[in-house]
Amino acid sequence: MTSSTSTPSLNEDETRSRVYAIVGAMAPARGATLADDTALIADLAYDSLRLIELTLALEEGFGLGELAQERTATVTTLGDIVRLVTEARRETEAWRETEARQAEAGR
Amino acid sequence: MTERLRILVTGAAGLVGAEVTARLVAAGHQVTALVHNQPVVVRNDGTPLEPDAVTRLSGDVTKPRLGLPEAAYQALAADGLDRIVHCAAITDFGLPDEVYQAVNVDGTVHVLELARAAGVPLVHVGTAYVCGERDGLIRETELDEGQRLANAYEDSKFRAETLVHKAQADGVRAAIVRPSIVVGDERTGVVRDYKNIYVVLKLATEGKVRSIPGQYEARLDLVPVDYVADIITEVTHRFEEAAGRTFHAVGTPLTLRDFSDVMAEYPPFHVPRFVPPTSFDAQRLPRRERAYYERVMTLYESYFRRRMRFDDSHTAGLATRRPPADGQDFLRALIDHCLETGYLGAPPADATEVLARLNITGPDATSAANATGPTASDVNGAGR
Repeated sequence: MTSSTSTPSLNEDETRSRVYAIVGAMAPARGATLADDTALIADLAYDSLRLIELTLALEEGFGLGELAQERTATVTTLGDIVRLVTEARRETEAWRETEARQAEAGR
Repeated sequence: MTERLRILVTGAAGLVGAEVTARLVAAGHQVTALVHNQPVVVRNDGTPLEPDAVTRLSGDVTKPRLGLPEAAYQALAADGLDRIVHCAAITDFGLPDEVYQAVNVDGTVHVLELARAAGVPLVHVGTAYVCGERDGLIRETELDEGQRLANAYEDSKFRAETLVHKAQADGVRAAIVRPSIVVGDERTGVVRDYKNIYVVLKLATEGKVRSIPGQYEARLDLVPVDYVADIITEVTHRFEEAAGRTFHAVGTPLTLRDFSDVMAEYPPFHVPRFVPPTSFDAQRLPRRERAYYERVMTLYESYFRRRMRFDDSHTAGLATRRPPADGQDFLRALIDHCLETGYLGAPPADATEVLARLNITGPDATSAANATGPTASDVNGAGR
């Protein structure tokens, strides 16, 4: 999958560090060490409401479309979020390309 | 009451189960506490029960023989018990249907099997909300009135109670206690964990959800956890009087108007607007509010339309203690406790504030967060 020219793409490391920054800053528990296997609830003290706010922060912070509940429901660690965001970014970019192509074709 | 009974309490580590266990121990009974994920029995006020106060059994009601080793199960079944108090249940909303089936329905099946095998009376803890979406006066003698059940939780508790009735018909002796919405202590407002109604209260008072489909005349019945535990304990003690009957452990119903009035007394609180369900359209909500509405409020929506009232004459006839006389005063005690612990009143920074602090603005960050109406449905398509 090629990235669209209109969207600045983050590489995997950039995605990971931005996810870490957002999840860490939103976490109810302060000062925890962050790693891919850090658990959102057990290690960072997220509860169900704070997880909703985190979903909003990820959507906003990565310019994603809405993350469906079915997808966020299975997320338990930081690593899961990195994977989810990476996937969602690809989908958003693919969708934008299709939109752009359709707009072009419609002209 | 002086007789020392051997009592098995399932769900002994749960909010209601722990309070019941503590009361039975204090009354001098020999309690076997069936626990699952959480091995320690902690009272609602946060103090753990002394480890040697009860016999703890690690089990799982979803499994045959309550997940106990054969020998331990046989020891209970063969003249090891005088009562079973079945408190184990899933009361959280929004979980997969299988979870309610496994814990609330299959769990009750397994408890009934033990009650039958051991020939022991069962006190089954149900919920007043097996009434589903019925309106008007709900009697303790009524169960299946052809009502619509609002969610998998209610459905599972309805089926569990039906199973208890069937077992009674073929010889199991049982009494049923039906609490309404279990909340904090009557006097102190203290509650061990904030669930269900507390979550709704938090979203509403923080202004995360500003309009809710519902009717100001709808009623919510909140009942103090200590009162519920007292009623269950009383029914357990006086089983001979209670056998074959059902007891509503309910509070003083509050209308949504009553709720709004109390919330308005607290300056930092937002007060939600209840709008007629027919003129409410979730798609018109801003993304942020819609996320909270769809992920949380929809689970409780049916409760904001109901006008039921629970009759509790069986309970009034058996127990000396009565529920809080003034529902609004009780609600104030609950809210005051939430303010003291910080659960309400000081929301942490929201997504936008945190992103600003981190200097993060997504490629087109604004569209996702602020979209409403038609724009929102475009965004809907993007992530799927």
